[in-house]
Amino acid sequence: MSEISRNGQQVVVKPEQDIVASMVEDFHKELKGVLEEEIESLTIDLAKVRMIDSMGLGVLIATHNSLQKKGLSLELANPSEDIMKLLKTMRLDQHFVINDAS
Amino acid sequence: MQFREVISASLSTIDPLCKKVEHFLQDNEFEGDLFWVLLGIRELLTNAVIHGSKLDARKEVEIELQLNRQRLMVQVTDRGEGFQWREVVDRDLRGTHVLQEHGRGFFIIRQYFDELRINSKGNQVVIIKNL
Repeated sequence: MSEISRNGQQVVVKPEQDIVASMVEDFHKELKGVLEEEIESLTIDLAKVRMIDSMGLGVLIATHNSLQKKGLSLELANPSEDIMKLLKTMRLDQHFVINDAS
Repeated sequence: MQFREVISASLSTIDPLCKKVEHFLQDNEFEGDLFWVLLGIRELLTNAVIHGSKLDARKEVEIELQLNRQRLMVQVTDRGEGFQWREVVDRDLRGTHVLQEHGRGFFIIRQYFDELRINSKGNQVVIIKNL
């Protein structure tokens, strides 16, 4: 479902679809699998994601909360303009590390 | 212009329905913010499927849209016993609870839509965007 790439202990997860209710259970399992590894960073690449709903945001937050226990923060890459606005509205941009290519 | 559809109460039915709604809005030259409208509709449908219908695919969820130059009205009805929407409808998770994992749906809806009405049983929600 997601393309997962590793450079040493830096992991990038790139979902192939929107992060919405119908897929969050499987997506959360993928992320939990990554969280079980020894990692230095976890980035979710949103290049192919057009929509994130409240359940999707919940999975991102749960992942961030797990990373915080390791002293890390969730990193997001390539959010669309709409998703960036959503993250700002929910004030999640103040917690996640966001690498906005634009 | 009007759009009406009935789906079974399953999460997998929400994505294709949202695609149809998107086409309906585009075909009728909807001039609002498509992202926020579709997000709000998703939140209503997800609530109706999970909380209203308890993920029972034998139950039905109905959506109706009415669009004119003045406003967009979205009504979602489930066949459940009624969910206590009022307990969550005014929740604002941007403060100290910003990293709470659940309970954002209605807050998201209220960011874009001008009105939100819930029937007394708690199984029908109407949201309105003035255009």
